[in-house]
Amino acid sequence: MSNLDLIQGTLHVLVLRSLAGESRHGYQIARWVRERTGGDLRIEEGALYPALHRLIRRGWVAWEWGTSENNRRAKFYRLTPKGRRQLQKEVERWRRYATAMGAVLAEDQA
Amino acid sequence: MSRERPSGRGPEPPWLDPDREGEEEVALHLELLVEELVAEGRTPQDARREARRRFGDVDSARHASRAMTRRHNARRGRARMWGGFRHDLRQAVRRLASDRIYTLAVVATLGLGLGAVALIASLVWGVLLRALPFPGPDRLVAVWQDNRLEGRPEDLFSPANFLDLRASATTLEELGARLFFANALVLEVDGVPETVLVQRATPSFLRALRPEPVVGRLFAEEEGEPGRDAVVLLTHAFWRERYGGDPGVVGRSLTLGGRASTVVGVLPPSMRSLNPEVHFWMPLAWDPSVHFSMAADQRSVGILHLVGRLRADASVDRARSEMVALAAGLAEEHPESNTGKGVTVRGLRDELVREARPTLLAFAGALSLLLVIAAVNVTTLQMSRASVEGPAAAVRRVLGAGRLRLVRLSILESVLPAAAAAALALLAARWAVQGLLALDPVALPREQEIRVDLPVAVATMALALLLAIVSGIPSAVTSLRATAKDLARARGSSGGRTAQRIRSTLVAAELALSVTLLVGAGLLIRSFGVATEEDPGFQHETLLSSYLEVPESRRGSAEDVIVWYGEALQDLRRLQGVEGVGLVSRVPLQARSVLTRLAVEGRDVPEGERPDVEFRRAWPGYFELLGVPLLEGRTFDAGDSSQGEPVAVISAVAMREIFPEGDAVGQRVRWSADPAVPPARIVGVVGDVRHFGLDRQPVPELYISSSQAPSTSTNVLVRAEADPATLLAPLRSRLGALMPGRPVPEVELVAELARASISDRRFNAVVLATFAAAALALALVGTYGVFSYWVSNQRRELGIRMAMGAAPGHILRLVLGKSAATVLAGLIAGAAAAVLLARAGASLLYGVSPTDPLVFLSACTLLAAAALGASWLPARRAAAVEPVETLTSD
Repeated sequence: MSNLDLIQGTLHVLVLRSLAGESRHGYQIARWVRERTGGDLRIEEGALYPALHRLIRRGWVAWEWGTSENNRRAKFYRLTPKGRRQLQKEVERWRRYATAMGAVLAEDQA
Repeated sequence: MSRERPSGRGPEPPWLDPDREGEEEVALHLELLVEELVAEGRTPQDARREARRRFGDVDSARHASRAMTRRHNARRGRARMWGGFRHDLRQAVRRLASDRIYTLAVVATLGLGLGAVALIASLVWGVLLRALPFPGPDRLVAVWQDNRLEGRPEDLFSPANFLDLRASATTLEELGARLFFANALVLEVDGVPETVLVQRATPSFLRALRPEPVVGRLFAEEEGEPGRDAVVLLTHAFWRERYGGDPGVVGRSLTLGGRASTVVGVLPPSMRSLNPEVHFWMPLAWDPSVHFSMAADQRSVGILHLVGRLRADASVDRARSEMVALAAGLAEEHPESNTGKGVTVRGLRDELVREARPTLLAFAGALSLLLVIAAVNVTTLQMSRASVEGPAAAVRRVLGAGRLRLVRLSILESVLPAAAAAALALLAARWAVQGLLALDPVALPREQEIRVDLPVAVATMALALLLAIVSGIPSAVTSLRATAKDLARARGSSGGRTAQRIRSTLVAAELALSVTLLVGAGLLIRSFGVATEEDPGFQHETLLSSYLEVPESRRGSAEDVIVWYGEALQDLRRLQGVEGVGLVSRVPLQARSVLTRLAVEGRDVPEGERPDVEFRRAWPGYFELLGVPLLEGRTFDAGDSSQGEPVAVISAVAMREIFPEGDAVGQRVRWSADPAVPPARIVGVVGDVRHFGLDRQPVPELYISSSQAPSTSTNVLVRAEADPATLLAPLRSRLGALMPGRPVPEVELVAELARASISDRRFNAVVLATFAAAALALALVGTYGVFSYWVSNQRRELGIRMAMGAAPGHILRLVLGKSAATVLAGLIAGAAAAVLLARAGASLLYGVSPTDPLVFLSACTLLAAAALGASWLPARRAAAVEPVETLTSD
C-alpha cells in the first residue's frame, strides 16, 4: 500500500486527536501520528509547527514549557476546552464522511 | 536577553526570546528523531540525513515556533498591564471608600459643577452653536427694511420693494420672502372642519433655504403666481401627526380655506426653526384678494420677512453694501413711500438666536462662576487630603513603590470620583433639561433641538477628566516628593501656614463668587416678581378668551353680521356663570401685533412719518367688561351703528404721543390705507393696556367700533362670575353650537396668557436661582472643610491655650474671628464683582436697579450667616478640646 497524501484539513484533526489524551511536544505528536497510522499517512514532521500555530490562533491548542523524556526543556502542547469540543465535532464529521463513502463504495462492488 | 531570568512570578519567565525558542524547539525535535533512528540501527550520519528528510521544511517550522512565542509575549504583556491596573484600581477604590467623606464631597462638588455644565452646554449647543439645519448655513442671510424714520432697523418689506431688490441683487444667489404672519385657514377632512395655520412663502424663499423635502418636492417658480398657487407642503410634525408619516399623501387633494389644494411634498423637521407653529406652507402669490397689501405693486405696507442665500464669492458685508445702495436708489425713485428706508442684512443664525443671546450669556457667565467654585472646592479638598496623606505616601515611597505606580494611583483616585460625578451630572442634566423646557421659555427659539446629546456628554466627560487630572496634580506631587524625612516629621502639627493661607484665600474667593451668583439670582427673581405684580391695565383674573366666526349664511351685509354678533353675545351671556361678554379683534396679552398708520385730518404729514398705532376692533361694552378705565369722552355704545359716523377710541399713550396738546377727542383720523374706508372720529380716551405682556410697556392704541365696521370673525372675551376654569368646557360646547359646521374653537384663560407672557423671566430666575443654590452649597462645604481642617491641625496649640487658662468662649471667638475675616473679604470682593456683572446684564432686568440695595443686602446677609454657621461647627469642636488629651496624645 502506498503512502497516502494528506487531504486538506486532515492534519488538524490528527494533531487535535494526538493531544486528546495528554499534552505532547512536537516530536511526540509526530511519532504518535506515525505509529497510529502505521506509516500509511506520511507527513513532513516540520509541517506540524505551522499547523500547531494555526490551531493556537484559533484557540484550540495552548502550550507551556515542560521537561522532555530526556530531561530537556520542551514545549508541550495541549487541547483547550474549546479544542476538545472542536475535536468532537471533527471526529463526528469524519465518521459520517467515512460511513457515507464506505456505503457508496460497497454498492459499487456489489 | 537571558531566558533564565529569576522569576518568582510564576513557573515560566514572562518574556521569551522568539529566535532562541524557535531554534531550540526545532533542534530538540531533530535530536529526538535522530536518537530514534540511531536506536533503529542507523549510523549517526545516516540518521541525521534521514531526520532532516523526514522533518522537511526547517525554516517554516522555526518561523511558526517564533510566531507562537511572540504571541505568547504579547498576551503576557497585556495581562501583566491589566493585572497591575486592576490591582491599582482596587486599591484606589478601597482608599476612596475608606475616606468616604472626602469622596462624597468631591463627587458632590464636581457633580454639581459638571451637571450645570452639561445643562447649560445643552442649551447653548442647542440654540447657539449647532449649525442651522440647512445646507450651507453660513451663506444664509436675513434681510430687513431699515426704517430710519421710525427707528426700526428690522422692519418688514413691502412686496414691491422686495421684488425690486430681488431683481437687482447680484451678491445674492437667491432672495425669497415669507409673509411674516401665519394665516389661520379651515382644513376640511371628511367634512370635519378644523383650523390650521398656514405659512405663505415665495418659491424662492424655499430655494434660498434649500430644505431637503422628506417626500415630494418644493414649490415650482410658477406656483408663486395667483391662480396657480393651489399647492401645499406639509410640515413634518403635521404629516406625522395627521397622516402617520404616509408618503402616499403627496398628490392628494385637500380642502384648505374652501379651496382644493394639492399636496406636493413634506418639509423636513428643520423648518420648525423658522416657524414652529404652522401646519402647512403655501406659495405666496401676489394676490390682493387675499389681503390688500399683497399686491405686487404695494410699496408702503411691510408684510414680508426676507431670507437670502449669498453667492459663493460674496460676503455678508458685500451683500449689505449692495442692498443699502439699492435701497437708496429705491428711496430716490419712490420718495413718497421709501424715504428714510434702508436695508439691514444679518446672518440668519444670528437672527434666530438673537433674543436668547443675553439670557444664554448670563447663564454661561453664571456657569463659569459655578465651575470655578467647584474647581476651587476640589482643589481645597485635595490639598487638605494631600497634607494628611503625606505620611502615608512617604511610607509607600520608602517601601519602594515605583514612581509610575504612585502617579497612576493618585490619578486613578482623582479620575474615579470625577467619572462618577460626570455620570451623575449627565443623568441630572437630562432630567433638568426636561424640567427647564417644561417652563416653556419663549426666549429659546429652537427648543425642539435642546437635549443632552453625545457632543455634550463627550464634552462633559472630557471636562471631568481634565478637572480630575489637574486636581490630582498636587497630591501626585506630594506623593512623589515624599521621602523618609517626611516620615520623621509627619507628626508635626505645623500643617503649613502658607497652605492654610492659600486655603483661606480660596474660600474667600469661593464666597465672593457665590455672592455674585446670589445677587444675580436675586435680581432676576425680583424682576420676575415686579413683572408678576404689574397691572396689565384690565382685570384679567376671571376672563376667558375664544373665537367667533360668522356663519356663511349670515354674512349677507354688514348689518347681517352685526345682528348675528348681537344674537351670539345674547346667547353666551345666558350661559350659567357668565357675568359678561365682549368682542375684540385681538385678545390682550396674546402678543400679536397689527399696526396701522394713523393720518390725523388737517395734518399734512408724509405717509412714512405718520405715527403707527396698534389697531383693534371692539364691540360696545368691551372696555366696561375688561375694566379698562375711561379717561375722557365716552366709549362705544349701542348708538354707534353702521349708519352713524364711524367712531374711534384711543389709549392714553396714543393721546400723549399723537395729541400732546390733549385735544384728541373730536378729531377725525384715517386708519386704513384703503381710501374707501371712511375716517373715524375720536370720541374717547381709555386707559393703557399691556397688550404684549405684563413686562412690556403699553404702546399707542386705536380702537374702532366693530358694531360699525365688523369683520366676519373676532375674538370673544367672557367674564366669569367665579372660577373661570369651570366655564372652559360649557363655553366651548356653546361656541360649537353657535357655529355649526365650523371647527370648535379653543377656550383659553386670560390669566394663563398673563403668566405665559413672563414665562421667560420665570425661566431665567429659576435657572439662576438653581445655580446660586448650588454655589451656596459648595461655598458652605468649602468653608466647613477649610475651618474644620484648620481646627484639627491646631488641636495641639488650642490645647496649650486652654491649659494656659483660655476659656472655651475665647477659643470659639478665636475661630469665628478667623472665619469672619475670610467671609468679610469674600463678601466685599463679591459685591464689587456683582455690581459690574449686574450692570452688564441690565437688559435682563425689569423694574429693579442693577444695584438694588435690598438684593445686595439679602445676598450678603444670607451668605455671611451661612458661612459663619458652617464655621460654627468646627469652632464648637475647637472649644471642646480637652487640654490634657491633646498634650498627652503622641
